[in-house]
Amino acid sequence: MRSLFGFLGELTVSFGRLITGKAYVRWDDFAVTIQRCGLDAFLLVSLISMLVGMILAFVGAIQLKMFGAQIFIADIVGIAMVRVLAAVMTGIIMSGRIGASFAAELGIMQTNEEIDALKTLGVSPVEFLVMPRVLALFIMLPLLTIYADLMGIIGGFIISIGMLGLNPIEYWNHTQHAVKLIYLWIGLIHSLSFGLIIAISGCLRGVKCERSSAGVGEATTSAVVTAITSIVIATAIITFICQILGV
Amino acid sequence: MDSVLDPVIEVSNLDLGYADYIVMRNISFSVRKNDIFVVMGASGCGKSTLLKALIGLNQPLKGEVLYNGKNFWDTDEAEQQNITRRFGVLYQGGALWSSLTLGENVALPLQIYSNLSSIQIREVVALKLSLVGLAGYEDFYPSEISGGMRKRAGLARAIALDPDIIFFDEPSAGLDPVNARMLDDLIIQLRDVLGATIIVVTHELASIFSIADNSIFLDAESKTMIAAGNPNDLLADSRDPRVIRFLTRGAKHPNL
Ligand SMILES: Nc1ncnc2c1ncn2[C@@H]1O[C@H](COP(=O)(O)OP(=O)(O)OP(=O)(O)O)[C@@H](O)[C@H]1O
Ligand SMILES: [Mg+2]
Repeated sequence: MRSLFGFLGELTVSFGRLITGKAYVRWDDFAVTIQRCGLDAFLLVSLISMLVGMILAFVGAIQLKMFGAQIFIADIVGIAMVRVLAAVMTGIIMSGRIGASFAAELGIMQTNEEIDALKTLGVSPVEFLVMPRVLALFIMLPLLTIYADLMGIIGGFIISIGMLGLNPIEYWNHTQHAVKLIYLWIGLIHSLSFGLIIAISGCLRGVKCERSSAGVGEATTSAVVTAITSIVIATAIITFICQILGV
Repeated sequence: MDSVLDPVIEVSNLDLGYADYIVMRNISFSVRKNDIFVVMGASGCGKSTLLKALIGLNQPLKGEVLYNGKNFWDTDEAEQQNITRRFGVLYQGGALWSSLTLGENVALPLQIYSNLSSIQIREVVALKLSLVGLAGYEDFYPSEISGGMRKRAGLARAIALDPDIIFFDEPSAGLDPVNARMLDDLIIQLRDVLGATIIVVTHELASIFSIADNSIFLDAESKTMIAAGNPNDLLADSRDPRVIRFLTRGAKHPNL
């Protein structure tokens, strides 16, 4: 816990130095991470969020059919995806893909004394290695989430039109009407926090890694576990706050 | 004015360890300017641990490390950085930054601390790499070269900024005899040309006898230093069987 706060403090200081242009950041890592989040994760995010949209439509249809209100599937899928589900699914996927790789990369650097070598050079490892990764995820997770929103809605659309025989125009109108701008913001808040959570748990576990191959394995596992647990807790907190604020 | 005889590094009553595990107790020595100072001892006795306390990575449990009279572990971070900026460190495993090419590895310290243009930096990088026998390897990644080459590339990086004090952790481990000899010559050359003070952790006897001006001997069992002085003198004069056994590869059993 103390190491977490120390780490966050260092990250904040680094961010301050970044804004004032004094930080020594490795931007190549930023570009590589952006690319890995984008191109490489696209397929998986598409697949998973589309399937989640489909599942929602199926499950919802069974209940709503009893009331002859099947068209409200559009509302359910739209709201659920945009508000939380797209962000949570993307967050979980990226914890496994990117969070784990951060922990492994930094863990191996720790084991190889690469991080020591940065310290003796007077370069903050947090600034040089962690900052670009955190920034990249902070930017990429919302973008991926918006894309996942779309995929989820398309998934719901396919089931509703193809299998339940709903009217496509009516479905689209319902979706547009149901997904309010505020839900997009709520989704954005989720994805921004998840971006931070994934990057920080991955990097923290990596930097604090014990110097052995077993240590690197442990760091990787615990990075993923920490990220997913924190994502669920953060979702609960954000949902609770929204409830209080009445949105 | 610094006199040549003034110690650059003074270590007194140092206790080293991790958490509550004590590795070494009561280490005291001083390193004169322009000396090649050797830290020797059996594997696992705590040589790297001592080095880490000297370069500011692991705080010692007790005792003082003075650089030109300044107590390193008792000053603020800015002052510590002023001190470490004059260091060059070759880590036991090379510790090259794996996502950077050899050229970028050597260039990074220059980019941070020198005012050289990128063309000048490229020239310095080429020079330092050729000095360690790696001319033309600028674009290789650490994963693409051998362990011994990594060690030498690490050395090129350590001397990139022409440091005042250079720390070597087992520089010749993993090198063939010819390259090991070349490295010894390079270390002496660095001392003579750069005027650097050099601290070498090693248990290569040939290297110890040919380069060391002064040395200390760490013993794992008693967890402290059991001898200090020029290794040739130690071999001639020491009455301690542990020291003699080490310096003669276990061959000679002095009857005491
Ligand atoms: N990070 C660490 N945490 C706990 N104990 C450690 C750590 N690093 C080293 N040690 C212990 O400290 C002791 C000294 O280790 P050190 O690496 O300093 O030995 P060494 O003299 O450099 O050995 P070698 O010649 O093999 O490199 C060993 O017993 C080792 O188990
Ligand atoms: Mg060692």
